[in-house]
This record gives sequence, C-alpha cells and structure tokens, in this order.
Amino acid sequence: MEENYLNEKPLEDSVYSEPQRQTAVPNAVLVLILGILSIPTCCCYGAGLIFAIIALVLASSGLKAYRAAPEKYTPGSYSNLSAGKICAWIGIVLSVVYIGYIVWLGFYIGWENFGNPEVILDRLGVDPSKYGY
Amino acid sequence: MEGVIEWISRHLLTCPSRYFLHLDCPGCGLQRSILALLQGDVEGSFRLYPATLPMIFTFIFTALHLKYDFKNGALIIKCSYILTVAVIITFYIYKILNHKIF
Repeated sequence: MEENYLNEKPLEDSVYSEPQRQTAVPNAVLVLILGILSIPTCCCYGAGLIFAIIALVLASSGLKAYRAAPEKYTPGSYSNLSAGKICAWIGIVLSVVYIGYIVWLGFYIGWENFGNPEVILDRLGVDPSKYGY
Repeated sequence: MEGVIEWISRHLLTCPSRYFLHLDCPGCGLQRSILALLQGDVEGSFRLYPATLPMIFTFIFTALHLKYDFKNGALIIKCSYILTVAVIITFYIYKILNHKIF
C-alpha cells in the first residue's frame, strides 16, 4: 500500500494536476508514408531513393522538435516517426544495393552488352543454352 | 471490373531498368502480380512476385493505423515492412542466381 501511495503521488502532482495537450510529432505521418513508399518505387526512375531521402530529412527535423520537448508530443506519433525512419533507411539500402549490383555488372561484363543475355551469361561463365537463351 | 483489368493490362508502366538496361529490377513483376491478384489468381500472383501480398498488407495496415492509431501499430508496420523487403531481396537473389534478370 505504501509503495502504491509513493508511486501515485508524483503522478498526481506532475501529470494530473497540470494536463498537457499533446500533439503529433511534426512530419510523423509523412515520414511513415514516404518511408513505406520507398520500397515499391525503389526502381521507378530512382523515385524510391528520393522518397527515402526526403523522409530522412523530414524525420530529422521532426526528431529535433521532439527532442527539444518530448512531453509535448504523443508517444504514438513518435513511434510512427521512428518506424518511418527505419523504413526509409531500409529503402535506401535496397536502392543502393541494387544500383551497386548494376554498376558492378556494367563494369564486369561491359555496358554495351546489356540486353544481350548470351554474352552476359558467357562472361559470367555460365552456359547460356542451359537457361533457354 | 473486366474492363478495368483489361485497361490496366494495356497501360502497365514500363520498368526503366528493363527499358534502358534490359535488366529486371527488384520490383519487376509487381504490376503483373497485382493484375493476377485482381483476376483472383493468388498462386499466379505469388509466382510472379511473392512480395505483393505482404506489401499490400503493409499498405492497408499502415492506412488503418494512421486512421485508428493501433497500440503496437508502428511495430507491426516495421515488422511487415522488413518481411516484405526480405522477400523482395530473396526473390531478386533467386532471380540473379538463376539468371532470370537478363
């Protein structure tokens, strides 16, 4: 009982006696949406990379506002913001890995051979006829 | 509905990677897969692009979460997003290893 009393008192003093209106962290929803959209658009003319970078920029300004005064914002919107940020980072990693693979392939087999599966497979040391080319 | 599906199938976006580099990108197959799903062919949709279903789940769940603010919504979104990306990467590596992207 005594423990409960001790636990409840500071709550009454700090939270219930002075109710604060919490708002959503700025950009939280936008960061989440852009972060998620960065995946299906990862190959759409580089749109995924652009979405992910915009999401990270918006997330950093939102985080700055949140860190300055965490009590002003709802915890839910903060977790939306951090989820969006993680999604954006994954989107960036996926885009970069894909672009890296293409660049490696380009230098390894020669850019002029793109669109010529027989030559590509030959350069990769694979028998093209095995794969129906 | 059939008219809509036919219209979509005639207006699929050309993948820039396919167009300029003649290579499949990690997103290739998504549109055909969605089309198969619209026609009710779940298995065909999975064969064309296995990440379609988790991706659609992520979108719908995110929309619902933003409207209704579920308790562990952000965590579920993160998990389903990571699952989707894992499926995309696995499928792309499978295509690379089987030389299906050229």
